[in-house]
Amino acid sequence: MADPVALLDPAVEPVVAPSSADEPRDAGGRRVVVLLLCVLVLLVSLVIALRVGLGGGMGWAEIGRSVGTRFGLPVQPLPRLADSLIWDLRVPRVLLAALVGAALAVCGAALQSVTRNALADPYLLGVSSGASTGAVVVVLLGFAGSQLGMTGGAFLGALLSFALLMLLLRRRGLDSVRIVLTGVVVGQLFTAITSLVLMSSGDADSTRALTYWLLGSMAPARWQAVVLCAIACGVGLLVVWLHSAALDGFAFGVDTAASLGIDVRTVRMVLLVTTSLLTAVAVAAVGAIGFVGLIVPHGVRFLVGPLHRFLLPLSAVVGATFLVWTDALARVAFAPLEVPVGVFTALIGVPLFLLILRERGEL
Amino acid sequence: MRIEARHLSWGVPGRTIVREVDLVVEPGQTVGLLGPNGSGKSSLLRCLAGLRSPTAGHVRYDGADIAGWPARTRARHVAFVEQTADTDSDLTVGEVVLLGRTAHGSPWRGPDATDRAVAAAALDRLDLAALADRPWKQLSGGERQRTHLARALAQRTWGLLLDEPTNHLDVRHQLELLELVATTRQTVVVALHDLTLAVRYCDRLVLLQHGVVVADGSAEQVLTPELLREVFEVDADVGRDDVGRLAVAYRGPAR
Repeated sequence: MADPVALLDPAVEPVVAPSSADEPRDAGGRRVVVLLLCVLVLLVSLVIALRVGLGGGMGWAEIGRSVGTRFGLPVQPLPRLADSLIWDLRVPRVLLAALVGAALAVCGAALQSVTRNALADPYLLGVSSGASTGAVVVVLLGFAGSQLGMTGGAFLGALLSFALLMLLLRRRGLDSVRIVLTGVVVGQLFTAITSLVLMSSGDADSTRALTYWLLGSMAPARWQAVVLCAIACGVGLLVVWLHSAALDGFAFGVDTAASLGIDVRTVRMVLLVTTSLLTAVAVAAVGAIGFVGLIVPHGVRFLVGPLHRFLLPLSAVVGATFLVWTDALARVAFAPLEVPVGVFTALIGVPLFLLILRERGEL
Repeated sequence: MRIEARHLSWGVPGRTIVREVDLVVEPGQTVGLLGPNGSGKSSLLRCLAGLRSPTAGHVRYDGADIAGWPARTRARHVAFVEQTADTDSDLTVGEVVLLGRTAHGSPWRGPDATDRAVAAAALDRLDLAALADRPWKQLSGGERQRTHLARALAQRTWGLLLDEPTNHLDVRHQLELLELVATTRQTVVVALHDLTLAVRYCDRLVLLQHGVVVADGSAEQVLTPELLREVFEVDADVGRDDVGRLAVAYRGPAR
């Protein structure tokens, strides 16, 4: 090793050979292996989920024919209706579940660091409710078919609820119980606004459709939403991941973060806007699905620890896998009746939420 | 690096906490910041670190006003250790020390070989090498404090601003830590409660009361029975110990 005193002396440029033999061993290797394994599990899950709950006597052969046709494989095309069931409904649904799961899990991980609060999640903080309000308003204004319009409305709603949350928490700090209670207040407010808007201006049909969507359901997934979600997730996840070092630095609070060289205000703003966007895209596509952002990062920390350059990508992959399977469960648990997937994520999330509260001695 | 405060004031709406402070710390000096709780030591340190924008006056590093400096530039000049910086996150000691390299690496990648070598040297310096893989939650208060100081050293800055770094430390580690601080070539401002340690390790003492500097100079000039009575509200005898160093013996709370 180079002279340890010189290494700490600001007068001397630290010179270390990159291939220095006694370089401390890097725990990164194990984490990369874990990440690759989880990617593999996700890919297998995506394929299996195509088959789960597929009706009409269809199986692997039909899935192969439908998907194969799209990739120009020499297979016999399916009849139009069957093909549509697989290619226009099932495939986008599974992909959308993966994208939304990834987005929500990464939002949760980022928010937990920025607010220094283990219970932060877009749903619990009321941001999903804000996004729902925005999307519903856009739909009732007559842009029902436009995924982009709904996403824009949801984005505005999410930003608005975030702004309200921050305003209410101003000067009060971000301790767990207070932030969750404030989030509940904001969420309730926006839920009430949504109901008011729905009741006052929606007809019976759109009210019923929107109410189902509000619970968080993958059923209306279409390709248009998949494409939009994929673009937003790609950009959003990259932006968040590029802030990994700053997210790590937030661990000891804003003063220590600032003293480490992190521009706290800017980073916070960029991340709140990015998580609002990701939440908005997810909500506009499939409604408000709760607790994914809470459950997944907590589980992932057990696997790879708290460093965000590992935590974030793995949360994305595990979140995707988690929602793909939860959605599959929602399809088959009470078949032929389909349960909104948000109901299942809540059933899994609530006990975990209580567990975290208890662990922190706040219950 | 020379750290300078000129007519520095800072406060929250309705309350001025640091008032018209003039303070010059020469390169390589170790200055002890003394004063009872609430005298403004922590706030002054935060202003000197550039973490609070003064409501009036300036902070200068080597003559340059730091107002408007990017956080990254600031972090390459001074490192700051808070009095109690705790976390829910379960980072290991080694990972916390690597946080000190945040302002040095590119934000797009993890630590490189240099960062790791510097962090290892800092761990070594604070006697923490054996604890490098231990998670934060399993550390004692003293180990946490030493980890923060190692993190600050890994920042490789010319200025070190430390808020009660000896809190939670046992006597041996208190002495070791202050010895380390006093012998570095860095410019150090350290808030301390223990007057004996301040006399032993600081080149100069600065006494704060209600955010105002009431004394600034050698131990003899600052720790007089009159000032101790007025500022700390204690009755004390000030004398010499066997090696001729100034010693404070408390009689009790001032009556």
